[in-house]
Amino acid sequence: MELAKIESLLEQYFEGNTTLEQEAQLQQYFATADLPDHLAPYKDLFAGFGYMRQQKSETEFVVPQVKRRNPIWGYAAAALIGVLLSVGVFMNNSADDAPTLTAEQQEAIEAFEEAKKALQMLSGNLNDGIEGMAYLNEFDKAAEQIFK
Amino acid sequence: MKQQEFLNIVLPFRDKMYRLARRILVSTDEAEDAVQEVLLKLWKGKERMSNYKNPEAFAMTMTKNYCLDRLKSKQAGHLKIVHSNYQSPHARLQDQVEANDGVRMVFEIMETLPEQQKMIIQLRDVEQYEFDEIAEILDMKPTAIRVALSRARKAVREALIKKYNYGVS
Repeated sequence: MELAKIESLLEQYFEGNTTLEQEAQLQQYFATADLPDHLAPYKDLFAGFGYMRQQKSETEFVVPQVKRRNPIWGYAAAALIGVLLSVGVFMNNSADDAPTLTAEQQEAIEAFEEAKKALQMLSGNLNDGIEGMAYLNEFDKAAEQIFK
Repeated sequence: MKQQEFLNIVLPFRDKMYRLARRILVSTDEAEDAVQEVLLKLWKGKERMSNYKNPEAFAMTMTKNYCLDRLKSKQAGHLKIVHSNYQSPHARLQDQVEANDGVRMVFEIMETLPEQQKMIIQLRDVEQYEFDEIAEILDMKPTAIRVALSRARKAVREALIKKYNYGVS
């Protein structure tokens, strides 16, 4: 490519009016040609862009893994929760038993006391009755004497 | 979306993301971190990715936004001062040892440009995107990109010629 064409292309380049193809031409020209002194800086310019284009990331991107837990931990957790629950329920029961009774339980105790009283009364009367039966023994004695 | 499917989509432009990040953040470590972060975000939102017409432009936009945010918080946290005080520009060019001094100057000049000009030169002169694509990535009008690109190229040329006239350091 003749110098005049390059210089006009360069002018367009600095105005931001060149296409990618034209810019590639410039790049190629400055990479290969034997240049007049006043164009020397542009060789470095385009070479610089070329170097920048070679830079590469050196860190590999690793997709983060979603950790899948061993199912045994699930069972272990369930078992542990079960044990804790039952211990908790047991502790609750034993702790609360004596002091607090439900109304129903209190009613039941009252009914029990009433029933006990009633039964005691009944058994007292029954004992009186049995004492009264002592007279029957006299009757037996008399009957023995007659039927001997 | 399966891992492999995701990687097949993102791997072709992963290096472009890295280079854009590197241009904005300068440090290679920070650029690597930025790429990882943005890829992670993309992976988390992968179900939506198939809806995007252009996943590459979307990924580049995310990279740009992430890096500019990083830069902002860095400046707020004084880290930038530490950075420019203790790291010579040449230390950052370790991977360009084979590049000559003139090319080094181009790298150094690029670092001095404002962020927007850096990004536009990066996307056009390094990655060779069409104006429409750059417009999509940077969310600007193509005409505005042309103007900004021209300004950026001229700024680089001016600095480069100045350095040349002082002699290659």
